[in-house]
Amino acid sequence: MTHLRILMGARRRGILNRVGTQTSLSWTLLLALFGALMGGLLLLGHAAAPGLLRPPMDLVTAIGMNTPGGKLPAGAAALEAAFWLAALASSVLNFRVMELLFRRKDVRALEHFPLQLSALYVDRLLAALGEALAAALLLTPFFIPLIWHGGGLAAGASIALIAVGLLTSSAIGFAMQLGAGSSLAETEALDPSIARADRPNTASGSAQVFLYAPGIALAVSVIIILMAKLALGEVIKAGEPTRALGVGLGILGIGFLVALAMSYKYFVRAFPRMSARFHEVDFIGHSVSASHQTSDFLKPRLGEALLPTSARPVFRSYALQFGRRYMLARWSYGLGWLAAGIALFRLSEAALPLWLVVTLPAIAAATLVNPWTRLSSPRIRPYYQDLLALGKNDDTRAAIAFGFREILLFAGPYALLAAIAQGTRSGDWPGAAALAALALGGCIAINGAVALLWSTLGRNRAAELVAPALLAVSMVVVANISLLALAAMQVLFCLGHLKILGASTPIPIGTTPHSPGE
Amino acid sequence: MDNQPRLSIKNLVKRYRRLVAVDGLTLSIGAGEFVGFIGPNGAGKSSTMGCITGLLAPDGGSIEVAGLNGAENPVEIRRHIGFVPQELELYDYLTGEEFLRFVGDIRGVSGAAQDKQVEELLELTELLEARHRLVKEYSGGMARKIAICAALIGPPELLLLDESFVGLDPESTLRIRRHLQNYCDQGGAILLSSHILDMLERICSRVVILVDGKLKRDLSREELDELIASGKYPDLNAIYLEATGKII
Repeated sequence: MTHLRILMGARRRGILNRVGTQTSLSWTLLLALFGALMGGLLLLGHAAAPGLLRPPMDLVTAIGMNTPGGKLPAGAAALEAAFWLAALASSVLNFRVMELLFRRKDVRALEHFPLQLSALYVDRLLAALGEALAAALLLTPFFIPLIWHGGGLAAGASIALIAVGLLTSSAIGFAMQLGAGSSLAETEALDPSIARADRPNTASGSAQVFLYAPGIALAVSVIIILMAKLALGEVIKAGEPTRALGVGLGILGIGFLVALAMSYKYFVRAFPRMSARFHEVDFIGHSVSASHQTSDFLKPRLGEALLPTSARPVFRSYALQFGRRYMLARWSYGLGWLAAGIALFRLSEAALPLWLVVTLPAIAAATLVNPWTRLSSPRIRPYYQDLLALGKNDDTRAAIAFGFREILLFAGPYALLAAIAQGTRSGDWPGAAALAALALGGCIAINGAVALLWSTLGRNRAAELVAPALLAVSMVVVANISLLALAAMQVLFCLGHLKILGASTPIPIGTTPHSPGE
Repeated sequence: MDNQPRLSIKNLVKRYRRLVAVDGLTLSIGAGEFVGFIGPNGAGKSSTMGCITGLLAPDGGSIEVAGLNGAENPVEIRRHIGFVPQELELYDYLTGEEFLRFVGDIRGVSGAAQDKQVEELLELTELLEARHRLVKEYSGGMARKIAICAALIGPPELLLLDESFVGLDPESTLRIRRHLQNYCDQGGAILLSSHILDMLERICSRVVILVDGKLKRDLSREELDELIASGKYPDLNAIYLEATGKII
């Protein structure tokens, strides 16, 4: 039996076992959530369909879309929306590739077994492509209403763009991450007498390639998705498949295959060594015996003054552990600000409408950043709340206050960029400030919603993952209708903080720290 | 038993930023040796084991397992190693038996040989009744037992056990200890990191003491017995405390 068959058999068995352990209640909840999400996207798509099918006047990525008559074809705006959604999903998927390759428990559990690397490669690739396909399927309902609004071709082209774009993006992310990692994985043991500067630096410097790789992969992916959009735009313009489509698909196919071939080469050549280097970069903060990490507990942490004295030590432990465990993730905020800055200053309002400007940080906070799940992970939240004489709600209060601080750290610079971009463009500085407040408010509202959740359910991983995402989608829907309604919604959820900060009765603790690696 | 060392480490260096966890360690373990690997917390024991298995990348030196160079054959050497890490990472959604069979398949143990080994190991660790439960549902001690079973399937030529007896009940500890001694008698080699010095003193054929990443003492069974018999040291605890400079 080949290792691939063995591994696929184990994966299949694992999935079946996992499905078998779910209760009917959890299935009902899951299906209800799925139904709500799909229904919401269908409704949103239905509301947006007339606009998406109207011939657009001003699209920054519409080069090559002009018809001889000078008008853009109906459906080009739908394709434009598909392009941005694909780019957004691609940014998530490119970072997910890092998780799939190195961090997830299903790969860590296999690391010390003599599994053939070709089998592990196929396993990881299938996982990455599976996630890309799932993301594409999740976005599809937004474009389905175009069909009953008379835009069948636009719907098909948009869905095809998202599916093909995300699959190619995952393959590119794979190749970039593995190519970057292989540059750190020397094939021979090093002579310790070699000068320190000449060795791979696993803590910073060259090790940062792990962090840069998803960013570079995103840039390449966006270019490829843009090319696919141009090819599909020709189809919309002509009303039938064209030669340009064939050429575009050919380029995509070649790009996909080249990415797979390169990633396979890097994987089988150096995966164990690059994985080892990755874990050193990723978990460098774990050794409490390292002298440079000790004696940092007495320093007051920004934001702890908001809390009662009894909760401050817990807040400090969250601050220290989160900063050390997610050092790499925090550096990636910078990449987000850079990308956001380029988008905010370079894109026109047609390409980056206000509703998207104000909800973008909330979407990222709910998906990419999500500090709430991380705060509940066992690496960050130990069992001390059961062991020490802490006040009844100190742990939850400290966690929500730290979540608030982390969200400000992530969304604050974005809000500032948005205010400057909008202010310099329109000259309406009060309006720009209001826009920034809405962008920031969305993230704080999610933190407030999590506070509500924790105060009623306790810490629950599924809820911490799903609720922020649902709220972010709801905010996108509301922002499309009215920014004032969005502001009201944000205020409402921000009040959720009071539920925890002012609680006098014990808040449910919820599940103990989530299983490691989940 | 052949004469080729099961494990050969030469001048191993492992750094974490400014911290030198393993500092020029040289160590060789032959067939049939049961080596106790002791040292204070942070002495570099787990880092050494991580480097041997390839889960950590050495910053210097070389490692050979059953004659295979670790840097050149990072996957191949794992065929010869059974490893139980301190922090377990298991396949949560397989049952205990499915997990063992999966590892058996990966190691090329199939058919009747696999059936026999799985039964024996489950019986050894008293997991027969829990064989159809998901690993996720196992207690800490049960999870450690199934990890030990997985390391023993094959069996590989070298076993690396990092604090593997933590959380095990005394009965299981005794049964597994006996099994490990049989394993060594049949030519296997073990590197066992533990702080249970009384147990190591009884079962190990050799004791290695690591302090600040450096090899402080390397005592054969005979040398250990002689030191204790001389009356200078009452037991391994005293030797350890002197080697680490922590006489109390």
